[in-house]
Amino acid sequence: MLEVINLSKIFYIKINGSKEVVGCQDINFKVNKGEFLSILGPSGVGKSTILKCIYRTYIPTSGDIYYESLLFGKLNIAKISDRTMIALREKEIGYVSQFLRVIPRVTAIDLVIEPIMKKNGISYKEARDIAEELLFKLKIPKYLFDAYPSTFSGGEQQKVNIARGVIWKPRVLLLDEPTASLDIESTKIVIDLLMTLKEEGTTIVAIFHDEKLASLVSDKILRISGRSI
Amino acid sequence: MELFPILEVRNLTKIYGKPCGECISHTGPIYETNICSRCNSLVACADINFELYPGEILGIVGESGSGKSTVIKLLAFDVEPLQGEYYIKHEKIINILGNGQKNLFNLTPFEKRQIRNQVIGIVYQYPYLGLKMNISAGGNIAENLLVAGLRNLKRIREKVLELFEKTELPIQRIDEPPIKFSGGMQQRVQIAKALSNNPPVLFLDEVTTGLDVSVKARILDLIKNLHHDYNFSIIIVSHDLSIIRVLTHRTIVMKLGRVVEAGLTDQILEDPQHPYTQLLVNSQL
Repeated sequence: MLEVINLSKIFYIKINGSKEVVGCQDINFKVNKGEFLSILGPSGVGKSTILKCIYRTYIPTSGDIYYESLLFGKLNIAKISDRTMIALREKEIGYVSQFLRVIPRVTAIDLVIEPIMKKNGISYKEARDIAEELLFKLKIPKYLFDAYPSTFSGGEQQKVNIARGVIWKPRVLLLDEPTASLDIESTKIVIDLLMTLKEEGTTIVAIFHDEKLASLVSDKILRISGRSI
Repeated sequence: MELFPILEVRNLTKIYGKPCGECISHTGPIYETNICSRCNSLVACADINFELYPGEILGIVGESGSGKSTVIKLLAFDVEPLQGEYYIKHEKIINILGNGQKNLFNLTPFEKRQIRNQVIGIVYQYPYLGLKMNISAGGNIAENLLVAGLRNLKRIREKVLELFEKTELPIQRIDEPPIKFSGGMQQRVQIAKALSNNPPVLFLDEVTTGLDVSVKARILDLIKNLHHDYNFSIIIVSHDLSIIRVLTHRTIVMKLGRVVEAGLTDQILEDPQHPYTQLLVNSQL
């Protein structure tokens, strides 16, 4: 489903002279359809960089990211056009960042509704019903549905973020520390949601800090150690 | 999945002054100037290529003098290019020009006016460029409908009222001239006018520059909601990266008349490749 070969990302910063910052180096892994891969490793080792390369927020410096797309067949994400990537983001590949990027004056429920409407073209009413059920499952109090998430606690924001990521059941879901700001009970709810998604066929790549949790949920673990340079 | 662009621009070049033939090869970011050292012509933009896809919002960023507004003026037929090709694929174009792909820059003035009226909506930074400031707001919008061939006065009035409602303008002020309106309201009148004939393509040139933050926010909300409801394709020119971040799918970065970088908006903002884009992104407060 997804195969990463010799992926490296180096940032070339050209302000006030030039600097090189290594994001990640020589990353290799393979995930089959419906598998759950966890990425473990100390901070600053480039775990997020890998996910951002797959989502093409970063342009890989070298290496290949092969993905078997439903829409386009097998392709190399490192090489595809921006338009193809936009289509994959709307129809196949989801990404849940570490922190919710709040869009000014968009309510929590509308943030969650957006991706499913983009994918399925269902009506606002239908999308809202699905979103409400999901937020209810995540134990977000009903009075917050139509509020702006900028005022939410870190945990509530992260739940909205996860709801946004899982509502449209993407084929591939990339998660950057999905449970970092959650308490034990919320973590359990989120893991249950991810497991349901996995059972329905979603391939998951997730970054975790909690080794125990990772070994509990994943089929494969990728360990990244300090980089050599 | 829309894989074919609605709008295509090829090799677009605009030079102010008499070009000497060496202007393009002696200007641009590498030479750190857009003025030709041989003939003093100003190369406003050169070799611009891009596509806009159905339903897409494309951003053009760059500092003052980068040529971003020139591109919009060229596409709106406000000025004529030195060279370039410009295509729009839409049923409305077929209605006006018949079948077959035609370079829109080569059309007659009459055909260009029709396209401006039916196919392209434009909102300028300065309301006086898009509106007649001393004619009633309703009249400004009605003018576009009249040009489109609408003759039934009752129908025109209905349509103007509908556009007022859509752009959240107070209907009781329909007969007042835009000169009496606040900056934010003037932009709403411009947007209403731009939308009057349901154009598939909309150009927004620094539409919120100079407005208060709260007014700016409401104009952006309006644009977002209208885009959601009508799904037209938009080119938005701005030097404000926060607007680009919130609204656009892809972004083009211009400097001294050239495109220095183009990509997915989040990639441009988080992994900028060109030194100029890196500086631009890092200049954000």
